[in-house]
Amino acid sequence: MKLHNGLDVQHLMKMLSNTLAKEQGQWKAVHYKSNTGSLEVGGLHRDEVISWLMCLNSRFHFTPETVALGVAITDRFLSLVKVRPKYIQCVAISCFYIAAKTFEEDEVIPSAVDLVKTSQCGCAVSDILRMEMIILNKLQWNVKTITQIDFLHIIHSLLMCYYPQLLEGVVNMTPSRHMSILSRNVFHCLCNHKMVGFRPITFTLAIISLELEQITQGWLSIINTVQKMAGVEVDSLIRCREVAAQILKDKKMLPTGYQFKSLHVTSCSAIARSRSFKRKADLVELEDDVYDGIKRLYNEESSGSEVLDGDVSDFTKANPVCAN
Amino acid sequence: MQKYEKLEKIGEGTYGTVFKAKNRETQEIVALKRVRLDDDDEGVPSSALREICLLKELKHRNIVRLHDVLHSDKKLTLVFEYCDQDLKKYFDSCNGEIDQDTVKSFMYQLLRGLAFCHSNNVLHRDLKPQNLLINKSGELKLADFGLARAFGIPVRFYSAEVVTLWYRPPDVLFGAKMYSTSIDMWSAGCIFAEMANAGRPLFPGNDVEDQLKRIFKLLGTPTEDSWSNITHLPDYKQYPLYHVSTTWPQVVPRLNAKGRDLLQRLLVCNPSGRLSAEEGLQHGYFADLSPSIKFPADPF
Repeated sequence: MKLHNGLDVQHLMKMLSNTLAKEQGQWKAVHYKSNTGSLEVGGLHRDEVISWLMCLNSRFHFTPETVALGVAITDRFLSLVKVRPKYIQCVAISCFYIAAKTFEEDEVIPSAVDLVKTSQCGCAVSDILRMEMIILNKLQWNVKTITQIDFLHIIHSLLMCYYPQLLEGVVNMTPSRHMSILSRNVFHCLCNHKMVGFRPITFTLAIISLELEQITQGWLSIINTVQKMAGVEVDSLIRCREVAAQILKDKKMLPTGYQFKSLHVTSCSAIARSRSFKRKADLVELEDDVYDGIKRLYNEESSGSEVLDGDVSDFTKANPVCAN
Repeated sequence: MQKYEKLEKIGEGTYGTVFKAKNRETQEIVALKRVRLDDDDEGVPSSALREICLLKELKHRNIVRLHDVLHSDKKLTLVFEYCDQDLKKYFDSCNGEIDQDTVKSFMYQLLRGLAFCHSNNVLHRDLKPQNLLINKSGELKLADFGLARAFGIPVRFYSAEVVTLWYRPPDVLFGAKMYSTSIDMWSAGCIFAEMANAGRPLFPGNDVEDQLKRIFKLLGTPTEDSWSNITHLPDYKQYPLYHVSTTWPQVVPRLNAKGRDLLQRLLVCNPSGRLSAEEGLQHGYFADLSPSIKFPADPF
């Protein structure tokens, strides 16, 4: 199967191995202390500020890649520098600004003044610009960081190529809508510092496996295949899955609430069904903020896609992180 | 700026002045691109930031090497490898005569640099002779990544305000925002023809309309049959169906038949029909290219 942008399995596999190689060279586990008091940023400070970035991303209509990079840079910087909690907002918004300058087009990047105004971050423009330089120098200008979203796009595309029938049994489900659910889960988990102790690939696989488990009985062998391909240690994948599952359960986002076409249901999906009424509303909502770029990737829209110009290509417009 | 001794001004980039300089310690000659950071400004210009982070990942012999980034109080200095001239200046020194083996070598190196960018998910978006550097040993290097961007898997809308007019493909001239690597392949085609003609630009349009007319007069006006959904492009306007009267041997008289074939496969109005950089490298035109250019001892 060839995707709408001309990518095929061979190309995707090459992207996966390139991305893994880069991740290996870059990634360092970030560990936050839970309780730090007012002298040093701890996990809770970090989680609060990351949730805020998620909201800002939708307010500025940036792509998921941008906020994922903003979060990654924030974590990298916080792992290198001890920051007092009162400065963390300034650090985060500056990292976010760097990410926007890296990935967004010039028409979309706000001026520093607008950034301050819209974000209500409470910092002065000069603070942000000074912080921007400190961060860039500290990271030695190595801004581009492999994120969970990079892996999610590659692995999801691979899944759709290898298992085009994967979502067939699910009512009202398309590849882009499925991607929208997965991204939402990635972003929720990114807001929890316990998850950034895991490699982005492990993180991503954990999220994908939690969804596949509800959809297909063959989930374990699919995940095993990808896990071996990507050289992810089983132990850490299992631990990461447990942490992610707990986060999503606490947010009442697991089970997801898939509905199935046939009578043939697995035990897991039966549980999912029992709660599906409650979750149905959310799934319908997702329909409106589907991942436009992914929709075009899987060619789910009618012809003449350029007409859609003006539709902002992000699914985070009504990011549920803000809602909860 | 203690480390480098400034020698002379070379030119102006998209966002700063470029100087030739010498490393006081190693005596190495470098190019310094200076970016001024004003107080009330937007901090590091996005074009500089993108150029730095993209070039840090693109290490290839046909892409200009970024050695270092220096930051002092109110300016940012990018330290690049030094090249003697750009392709535009090279043309000026040609006096209308160019060796067709040189054209072949330059074109091959352009495609190889481009193939490397594309395989690393980077679009250049401003290919033109001024942005291709040539060093003393005849090596060609892609430079000025100020408009470049990374692209990912989702098919997204990008800016249509990219690529200098003469090298801008017809889809982008019609306002297309959903483009990919094909955007650079059109520019490569225009540059190929310009090289073959020793520096005479192929489509030197005055404005968007004139640009499209020049293109369609040579290639024929595309229709829904040759390019489905063309009429849906944001700034689509109908153009007369020109009678194509110029033949390719007239357009590029000194280019051989294989070269003309490659050129025609790059200059395809419908972006989905354009050759990729990787495919271009495999084209028969390069079959007799000197192995020293094709297989350099050190590809990086």
